[in-house]
Amino acid sequence: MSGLFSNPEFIRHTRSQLRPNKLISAASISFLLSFAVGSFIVRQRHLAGTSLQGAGVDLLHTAFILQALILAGGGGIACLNSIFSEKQQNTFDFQRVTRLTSLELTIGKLFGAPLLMYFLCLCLTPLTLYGAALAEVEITHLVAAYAVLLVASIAYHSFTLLLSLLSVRGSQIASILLALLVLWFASVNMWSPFVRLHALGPFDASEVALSHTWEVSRLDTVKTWDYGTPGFTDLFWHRPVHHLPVLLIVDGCLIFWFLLGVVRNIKKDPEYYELYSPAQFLGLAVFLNLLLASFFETRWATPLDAQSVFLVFNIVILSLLGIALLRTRERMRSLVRGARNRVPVSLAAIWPAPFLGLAAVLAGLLIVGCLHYAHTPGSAWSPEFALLRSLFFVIWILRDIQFLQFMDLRPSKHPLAMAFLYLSIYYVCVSFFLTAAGSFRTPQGTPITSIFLPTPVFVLDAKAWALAPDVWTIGFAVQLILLALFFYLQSERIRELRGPATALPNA
Amino acid sequence: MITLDKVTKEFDQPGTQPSVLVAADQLSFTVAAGEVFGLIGPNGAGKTTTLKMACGLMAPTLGTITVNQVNVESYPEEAQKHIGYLADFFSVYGNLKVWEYVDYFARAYKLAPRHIPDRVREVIALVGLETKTDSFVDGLSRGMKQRLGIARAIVHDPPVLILDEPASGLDPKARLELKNLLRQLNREGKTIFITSHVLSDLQEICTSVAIMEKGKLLHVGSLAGVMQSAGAVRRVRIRLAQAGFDLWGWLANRGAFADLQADAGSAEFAFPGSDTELAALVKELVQAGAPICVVEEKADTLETVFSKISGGEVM
Repeated sequence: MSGLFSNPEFIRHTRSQLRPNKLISAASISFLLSFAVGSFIVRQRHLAGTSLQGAGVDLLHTAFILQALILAGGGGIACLNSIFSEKQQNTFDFQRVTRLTSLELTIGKLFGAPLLMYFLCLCLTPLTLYGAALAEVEITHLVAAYAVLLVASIAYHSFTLLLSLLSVRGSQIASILLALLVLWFASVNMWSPFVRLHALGPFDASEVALSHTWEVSRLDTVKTWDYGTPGFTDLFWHRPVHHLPVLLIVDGCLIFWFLLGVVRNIKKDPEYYELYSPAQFLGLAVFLNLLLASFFETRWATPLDAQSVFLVFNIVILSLLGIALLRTRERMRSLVRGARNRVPVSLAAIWPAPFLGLAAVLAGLLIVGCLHYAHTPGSAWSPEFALLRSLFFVIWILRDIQFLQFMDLRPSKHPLAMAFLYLSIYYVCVSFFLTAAGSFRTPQGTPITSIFLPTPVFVLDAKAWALAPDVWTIGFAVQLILLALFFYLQSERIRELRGPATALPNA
Repeated sequence: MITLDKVTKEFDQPGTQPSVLVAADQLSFTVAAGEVFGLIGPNGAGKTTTLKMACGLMAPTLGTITVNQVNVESYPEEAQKHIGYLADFFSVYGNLKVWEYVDYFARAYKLAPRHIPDRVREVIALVGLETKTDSFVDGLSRGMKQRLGIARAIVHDPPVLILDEPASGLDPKARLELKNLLRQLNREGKTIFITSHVLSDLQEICTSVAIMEKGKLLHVGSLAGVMQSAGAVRRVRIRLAQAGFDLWGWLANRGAFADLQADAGSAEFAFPGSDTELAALVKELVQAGAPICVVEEKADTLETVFSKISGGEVM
């Protein structure tokens, strides 16, 4: 903690944000807001003739939601701006040439950028305490609620800081939208037939304060579950556990992964950013899969459904990580031409397929393995077809990411953005054509769609295969041919990068 | 102190021909300790790119750069310990006070906390901002901000200063102050690697120069050496107090004076000899009865030399 208070970046934010005039304004507004909200709620409850305890519950909910909005929302925006605006103002380079380590710079920004929001949040604490006193909340629950608010907000700040690092000129609106989307997603209760996990965001802080007990058995558990949200418990490997430690541990892990991406890159030349090393990339993929598996309830799903859920999840995860592994032209040029640690053309031509492929194969095998041992005896389960589905998924992921890598090596202004655009157009158009042709309506049409889209993989079983084994085989073959084509095109790009550039003629 | 070995930096230029811009093309030179080394060239020559690579802000496509024998690409933080950097277009944190700004960088460069207050005061005084210590940076003029930038670059007392166009946007008085400050820093032992469009200033303070154009190094060496290799010769002008002496005829008879131009009262010619030879020539002229009142040297300026070398490229 003393390290934080002597962190130069944190001190800079303290000096610029916590000037007395700003603090007085912020405190005045907060106290006024607290007074208005407090008196409104108490008055309403009084008019309704309900107890003061009820008013306290309402106050507590309102205060925590306000604090979460300020700390996570406002602080997130401050973090989102922190690195991006420094790059825009040309002040970031001066931080990069100082002796601040990447970790010091990251920590200074993580806690320094949202400093005013922490202060505002602090100013709303009297309202929370008043609500807690009226609602007769125990002090331990109140402390736990603040821990949730703090840890979940820091996790969100870490994410927005990473986003800020990766934002480039013109992408700020997209970054803000993505940040808001993630905040919304983190606040939505994930409890569903398949995933037994409550929200990981900061908006559940009041739930912790009002849960009144630490005993899992006394909280509403899965026994009463009927498509509604049960009490504040999750199902961890089929065992009910209190959500509080789950939230703190999962958010803590997410903070680690987000900050790792920032720390690895914050002092690097932006052309050479590499979000994670391949080993870290594999680690993250395994962590996310384990996370899903830990809270996945196989009893409510058929093996085919369960595999589909995991495959969809991995398509998202591996696509994001695959994108993070993509190399820009500049990076690739340096790697294939550099005097030290030169990468052979043959290896560069298939990047990032080896790591992504390995991750996808591991994920596929893990899914099949887990489901093989977890499936209910007697249910329709075929390990061979499960493996085939995983293989199909691996090839699809590799094909698309390899296309993006090839496109990213093209000499154009926004090669990756164009690649995404082309890929999106392709999927939208193909979906329309296949819908128009009625391919999605009949079982016979499904194998044909496998040539163009990955969706049929979710229904590939012995029955579907038997309908048209030749077409399924063609579907596989086409993906492999396309993958080979992208390898070839990428190798051509790399040969071009390997040759010396034509210097401008001298005057 | 700073060594560049076959440093190349290539950038993509989508939609233009050629599609790859070579901002630095196999640059190899050394900036020795204690030198003021000027990097000159027109806009787009690759000066800023070269300086950024030397600071570790940009990675070269090929080649290596070392500062104090530390590889900048491999050990940027270790190399940056020895470097103070000022960019050409830079901003400062407007919401900080002048002393807070310098204090921030003193801490960021990991100066011993007990020395920071004294060092901050010392540096602020060195750049002449004592009266503005408690002012907000936003309220400073352009020149003052430039001086604050220099204060930031020297706060950790680095042996090497890398300055990209430090005089840009400064008025003549501020430029003079800057020049004096750089001279003072050099006297204190700092090695200065500098780019500037104001070649007359560079000529006054640089000990060595490198001339760049379109990423290529055209000339590099001591200032005198570069001037000489670029064909710079000193011209001498002699003026008589009164007409009547055949100056042109006398000089023409002596021969070996290239580009001799003369009128009734004066003559100008290229003189390749030494100062002693020039003194002897003047003595002979006086003995021959020439009423000499002025002997002046008209040396080529760095600007003229640059113009000759670069084929008239705009600075």
